[in-house]
Amino acid sequence: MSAPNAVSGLQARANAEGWWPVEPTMRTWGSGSVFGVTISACVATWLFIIGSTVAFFLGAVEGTVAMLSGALVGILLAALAVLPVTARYGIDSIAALRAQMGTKGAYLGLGLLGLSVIGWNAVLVIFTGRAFAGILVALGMMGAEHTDLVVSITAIVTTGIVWLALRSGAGAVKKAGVAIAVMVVLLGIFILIMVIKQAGVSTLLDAEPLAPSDSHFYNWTTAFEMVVATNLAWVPFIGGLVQLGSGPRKALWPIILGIGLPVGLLSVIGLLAALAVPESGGDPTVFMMELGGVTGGVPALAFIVLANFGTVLICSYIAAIGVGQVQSLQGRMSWSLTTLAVLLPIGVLAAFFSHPFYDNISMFLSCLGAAFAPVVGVMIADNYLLRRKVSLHGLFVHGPGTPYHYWKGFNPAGLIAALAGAGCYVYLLNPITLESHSPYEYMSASLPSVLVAGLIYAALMKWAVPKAWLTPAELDA
Amino acid sequence: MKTAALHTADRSEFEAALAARIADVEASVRPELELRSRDYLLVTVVTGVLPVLAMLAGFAGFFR
Repeated sequence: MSAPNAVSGLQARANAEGWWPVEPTMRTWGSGSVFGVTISACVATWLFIIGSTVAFFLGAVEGTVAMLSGALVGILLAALAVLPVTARYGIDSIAALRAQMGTKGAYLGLGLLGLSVIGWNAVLVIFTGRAFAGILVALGMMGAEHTDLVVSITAIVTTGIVWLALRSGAGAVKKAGVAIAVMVVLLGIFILIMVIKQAGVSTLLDAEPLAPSDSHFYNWTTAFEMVVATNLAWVPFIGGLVQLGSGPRKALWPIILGIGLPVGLLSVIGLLAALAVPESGGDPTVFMMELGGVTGGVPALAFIVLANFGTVLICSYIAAIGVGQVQSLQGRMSWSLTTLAVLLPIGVLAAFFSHPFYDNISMFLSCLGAAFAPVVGVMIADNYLLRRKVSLHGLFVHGPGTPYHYWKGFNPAGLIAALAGAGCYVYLLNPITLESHSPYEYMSASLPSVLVAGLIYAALMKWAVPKAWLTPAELDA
Repeated sequence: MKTAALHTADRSEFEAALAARIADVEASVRPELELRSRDYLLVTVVTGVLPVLAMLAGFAGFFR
């Protein structure tokens, strides 16, 4: 390959794969497109799991209020953290994190992104397999004893199809996003009606929580906390969702409405179903068939398959962009190989470890709050307390002497603050056992974690960081 | 495409292209699409203050 081709080839890939800020002429998505992609990325069966978990603590009305509140607060914090910078410049969330964590420290965000993507997508792929198996069983095409085999085969096929779709880049994501968003919303409404119609409104309203704590405050806060933590984990994805949008104002409400409301509202389906059919444990592949029979259940399961496919497609695309931010890999891995590297662990996990993974999924989801809340706190403090002016040049040009090199590519202030925030979270709420320490029952764990990380970061940046680490503009300020 | 490493001259050209992109992007930032105080106020009230008030009402047993 000739030298000019090597350069132009890399440049073309940087454009197509989102390593660089998106070219201004390519940022054509309006609010509708951002909303469509966001909502289709968000609507997936893990919402049912969250809802059914809340059913252990609160009944229908209280659980709905707590989940909606948590969903909105969570997405507000996530949006405040990343939206101003990512939507202004058309960049990925991981790139934006370099300003706070350093050019190498931002790989922490990439690690969190990987943890989140692999875990969530594995859940979705497993559920896709279970839903598909449920359809085959309901139609009499196979016995229930073959479910595990179907889950494994479906996992391999689903990740294979997603990989093929991703090879065409952002186009496939946009087309899939808009179409699936419309379909998913319509089917979601259908499922909600089916749940209410079959179980009865009065039964649902009167249903007691499945296993509440003695503390009324603990029940409310835990329901709230689970959804806050879930939405904080959208931080690494938001940049990818909005980077083709034309600016922050066009992206703010699509993100809030596209994630906050669906998470709050569709989780209610899992809550209501778990209250109506407690023995289902909130598993949609079980309660859909219980409530709807073949005529209602099979279309609902088909909804799950479609919704999950769209989510896996979009989240994997964003994760692949995140991998592309690793400078040492840029130009060394083809887009096909990058997407394969993202999808392979998901497929393997879902195909061969579906049972052990599924049994521990609530633990995994709880850990997301402890991981993401501190990062959100640091980014919010940087945007609004310190009001640092982001150097776009510094986000993309690395090495000694560049704005975000700090100490060997790491910003100790950001990393220390994130660790402190995580420690605060774990003290207040152990994500493995859900044991809590006061004042968790009045404050939750995510909100204090955001606050602690943010304040420590601001204090360290203000008074402890060597002046040599700051940009000239910051020193002038 | 396998481009394990760019030569020094190529790297310079690549960096120049990146610098040009950064300049383009910075020049294209539209102030009218930046978030303003009233955007922050509205979104904070709707998605921050109201949910917290709802939680406080729930603590008080309002939704029982």
